[in-house]
Amino acid sequence: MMRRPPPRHSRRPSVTRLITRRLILVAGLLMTAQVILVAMHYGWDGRRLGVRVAANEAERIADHVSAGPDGKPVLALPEEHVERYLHHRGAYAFRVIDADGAEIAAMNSGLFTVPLPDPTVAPDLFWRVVPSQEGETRILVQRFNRIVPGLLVAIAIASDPDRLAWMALLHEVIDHVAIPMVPLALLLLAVNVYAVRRGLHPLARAAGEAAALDARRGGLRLSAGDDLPREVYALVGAVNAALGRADEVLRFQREFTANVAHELRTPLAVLLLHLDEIGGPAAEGAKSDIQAMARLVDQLLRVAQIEGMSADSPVEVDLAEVGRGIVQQLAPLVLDRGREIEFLDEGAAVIQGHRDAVAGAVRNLVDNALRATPMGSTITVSAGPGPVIEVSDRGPGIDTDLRRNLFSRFSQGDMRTRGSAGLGLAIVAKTMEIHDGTVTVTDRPGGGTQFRLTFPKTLPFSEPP
Amino acid sequence: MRVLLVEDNERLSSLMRGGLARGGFTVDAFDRLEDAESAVDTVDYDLILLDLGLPDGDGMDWLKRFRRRSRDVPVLVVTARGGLTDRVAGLDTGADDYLVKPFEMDELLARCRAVLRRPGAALSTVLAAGNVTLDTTSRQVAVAGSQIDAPRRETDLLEVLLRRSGQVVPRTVLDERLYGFDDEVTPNALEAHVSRLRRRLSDAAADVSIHTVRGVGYLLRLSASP
Repeated sequence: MMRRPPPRHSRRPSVTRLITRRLILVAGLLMTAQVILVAMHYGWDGRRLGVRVAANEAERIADHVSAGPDGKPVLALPEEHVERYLHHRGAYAFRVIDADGAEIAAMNSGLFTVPLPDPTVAPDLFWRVVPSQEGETRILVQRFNRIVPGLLVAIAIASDPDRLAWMALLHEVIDHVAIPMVPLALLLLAVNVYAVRRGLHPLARAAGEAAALDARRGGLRLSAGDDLPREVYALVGAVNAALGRADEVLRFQREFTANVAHELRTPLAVLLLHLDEIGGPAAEGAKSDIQAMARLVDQLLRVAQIEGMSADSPVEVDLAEVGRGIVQQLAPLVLDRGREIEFLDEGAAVIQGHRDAVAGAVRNLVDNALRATPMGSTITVSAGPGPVIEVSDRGPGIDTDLRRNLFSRFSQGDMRTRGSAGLGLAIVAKTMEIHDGTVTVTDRPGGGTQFRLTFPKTLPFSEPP
Repeated sequence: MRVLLVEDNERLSSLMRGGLARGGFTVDAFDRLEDAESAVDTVDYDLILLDLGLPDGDGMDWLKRFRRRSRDVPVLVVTARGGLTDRVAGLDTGADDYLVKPFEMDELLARCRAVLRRPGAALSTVLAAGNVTLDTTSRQVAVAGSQIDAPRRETDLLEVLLRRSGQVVPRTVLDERLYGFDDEVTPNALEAHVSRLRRRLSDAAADVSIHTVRGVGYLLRLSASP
């Protein structure tokens, strides 16, 4: 069967990330559009930007005007600001005039080619565009009553080597696009991430439940609470329907195996009794074959039963009691075959599990050991320390290659029998599988093989929801 | 001995009938619970052999009803249901024994005799295994017919082992049976008694021996052929 590689979670973007990314993209597009609109707004009408540039410059100069000790305004322009007017004598000019019409400060006054309005009657804002050799000179006069009553600042701009227009445009963009839109976009993003996370919470919960499901235990469903959004509810419903069908298949398989085993037993009984009547050495041979087959049928039934057991709730199983019980039960058989058996309690734990299954596993291991161990040797069943039970024999040992996949093959559904072992090891493997335990095979010191069943320390069976 | 056999597989029924007849039983065989029901009304059977999966119902249900009115007829359940839980359920319902198909005729006969003996076991005062006998009332132990002397504790020990001959008797059970609450028991008392009884039996050339199953208990079994 082809197996697809497991999905790599790290490579898969979360819905939150997808939405965040798209929202950022949309916000970016909107802001670009806004910038274009602002640019167009000024681009259509050069005058607007001109007024804005000159007004900004007037504002900057006015910021350095203050009332002197005699109440007259005084300009204290910083060096770097003065430099603009020193370096670009033909481009920029300013004049600061007080309420009486007296000039307080001025640079490059030659650029003011038109007479300025009388301070007493001047409007708050005066704007003139005067043609000149290099194109046109823009002249602005603005009143700053808030600094000193009647204060006028006049600005003339003949050309723009300092790119004041661009600076103004940039400020416009920041004022009208970045400041109102960025916080809004961030707020939207945060709200969205929160909403999406919350909205997906039931889905994450359902996924967690689904991951924790153990298909071997039938009758399990994801919880479809009232808090599930419609889309998640539909998914959970579909998964539950699929689980229901899987349950049916599982039940059918178990019942089928059990029924087959039952149905096979009666004809075997007929055969056996027939051979009893016939008698003779040939019949004896056939009888032992039938016994072997009956054993296989038993084991088949056993496998089906273990499958079913995993759905039952676990009980407390004292491993020492199980080990002692099996030794007690099988000792007569072992002695009849000329072998010995002993039990050692080395401080075994009480585990949560299925007693019949555990006992069946140990019985099968003893059965195997009995076949492997030579006449006169001893089979040792030891429980503990901890949640462990071991069965050791003095047999020839198991080949390392064979040992490696002795049990793993059963989990892949390979139920072929190996020699006389029958399905015994499959039963052991299945038992440990439903207990989340492990089975290991090692060489026994001094010769022989040691099978060790290790159960988990903690409860392997989660309570059904 | 009259036996009622309820088994719906015709061939199995006839084979069982033949074997039981050769074993000295008189057999009435039916394949339906309904017929079995009317048969038990008219005849006093000594033993009932009951299959569970029958065409007109489940043998277990019938057994439950039957047990309500009669407890003394032993019932041996003969079935294809071999699970441990099935067995336990069968014995709980009132079956005296449970035989899983397939089985050999000898085993069936042995089980029949065993369940027939069971109610009368209290009357039988002589326990035996191999050439060893123990009279439970006179407390006399004999090997191959000749009486041997054994102290009370060893006789008690032998009795418990004889009653479960061939099975491992856990040492907890032996401790409980042999020593009263007031007895001062040294930790190795049981081992000492076992070893003395073992010697006594072998000195008397008994063909059974007491076998130790380390960590579990003891069992009495026929010695391996010499």
